[in-house]
Amino acid sequence: MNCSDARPLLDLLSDGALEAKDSALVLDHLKSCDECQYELNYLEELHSRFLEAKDKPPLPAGLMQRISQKLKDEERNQDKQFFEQYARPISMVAIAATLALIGCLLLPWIHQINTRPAPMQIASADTLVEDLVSERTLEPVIDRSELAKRVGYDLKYVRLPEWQMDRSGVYKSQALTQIARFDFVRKGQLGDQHLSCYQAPQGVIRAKVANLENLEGKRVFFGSHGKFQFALWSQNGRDYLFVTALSKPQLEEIVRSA
Amino acid sequence: MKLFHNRRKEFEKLTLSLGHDLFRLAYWRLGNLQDAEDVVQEAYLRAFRSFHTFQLGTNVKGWMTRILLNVVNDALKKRVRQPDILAIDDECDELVSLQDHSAASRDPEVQLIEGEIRPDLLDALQRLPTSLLHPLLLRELEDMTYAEIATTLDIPTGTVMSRLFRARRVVRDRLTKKVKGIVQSEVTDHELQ
Repeated sequence: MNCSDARPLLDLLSDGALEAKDSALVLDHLKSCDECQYELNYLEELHSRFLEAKDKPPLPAGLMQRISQKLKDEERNQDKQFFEQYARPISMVAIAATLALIGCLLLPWIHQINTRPAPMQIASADTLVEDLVSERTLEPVIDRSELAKRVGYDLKYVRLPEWQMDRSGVYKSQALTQIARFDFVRKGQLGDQHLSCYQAPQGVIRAKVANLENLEGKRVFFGSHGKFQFALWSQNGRDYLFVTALSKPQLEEIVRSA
Repeated sequence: MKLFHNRRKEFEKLTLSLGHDLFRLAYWRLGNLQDAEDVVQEAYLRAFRSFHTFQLGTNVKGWMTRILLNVVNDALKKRVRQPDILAIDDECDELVSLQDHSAASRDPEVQLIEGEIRPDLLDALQRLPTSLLHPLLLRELEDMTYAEIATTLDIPTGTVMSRLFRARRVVRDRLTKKVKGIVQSEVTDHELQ
């Protein structure tokens, strides 16, 4: 090995990166070459100089603590940026989605509430009879379609050929608005005879004390309250309560023909 | 909220032990304690911001060193815009740092620390072009292997070897010139007396 071969390998030898076989060749050359030995000595000296300088300068006091603090600040900034960029919009979307979900879940329930038929209020036949003499219990409505609209159902009329309608309207007492009332009159031997008819959805009017009779296929409850006789029956999905000061046989006859 | 809490802990666990190595490298590259401290802090911040790109299990020192050297280069480029503290090496094709060594402008403690290590070697190194200086510093100060240097600087291993060879000879020549200059100066002073 000559100098031109050895020189490039001196650095590797000095750095401990030369393979054993090549190291042996270079070391063999160095025995007889002062220039290459001088070169290697310089490299070793340079190593020594750097070795001495390795622990200099010392790490400034508190530098790593300051770095750690800066990293914490950076972490907070990243958290904040993340929240502003993603978490806040996501949270708003999540809130909106949650509200929408709750709305969807409640909608059928709300719909059910809105569409559920109002609980049926029961009217006492005796009270209806008593209220006949009270003017405040009837709100007059002449027009039939308007009256149907006010009570909320189609009015189904019965046949009363001898009677003339005197007035009609909505029964207002007992917080009931679905009962229609029709007052009829006819000429009698002793003067005008009066008949009042209440009509309501089936099941609304009940009679506490009454006798059930079968009249021409109708199941009719007959009763009396004070000077009045009344008859209560259901027909075509409606309750009919007929009230009159006439006698029970006369009332039976009216109901039979109705 | 601590979204990045665990990530920071992991980052610190991996990198804080490298603080002295990075600071020393920054100092030998820049030749100024305060600049070195600033550069190391900035390098840690940059590394933390890009920690998601680091592959766990790979060479963390090489990764941190590469980031540090990038920050150092940025700092040196910044000095280009401040000509009073930067000059261009007459002999090299790259920018190098030259410090204002005015003793009057320096803290006494800094002067003491820098006085211990400054003399000829640091002066000789600071005039090296970056392409030669970086491999030399990584080899001599950081004990990196040729392969690690190659990875860190993203150059072939053969290039690492050739640059180390050249860097050492340039440093030797400069150190030799300086010694000759000092001897010649002493002789001249002696003759004047």
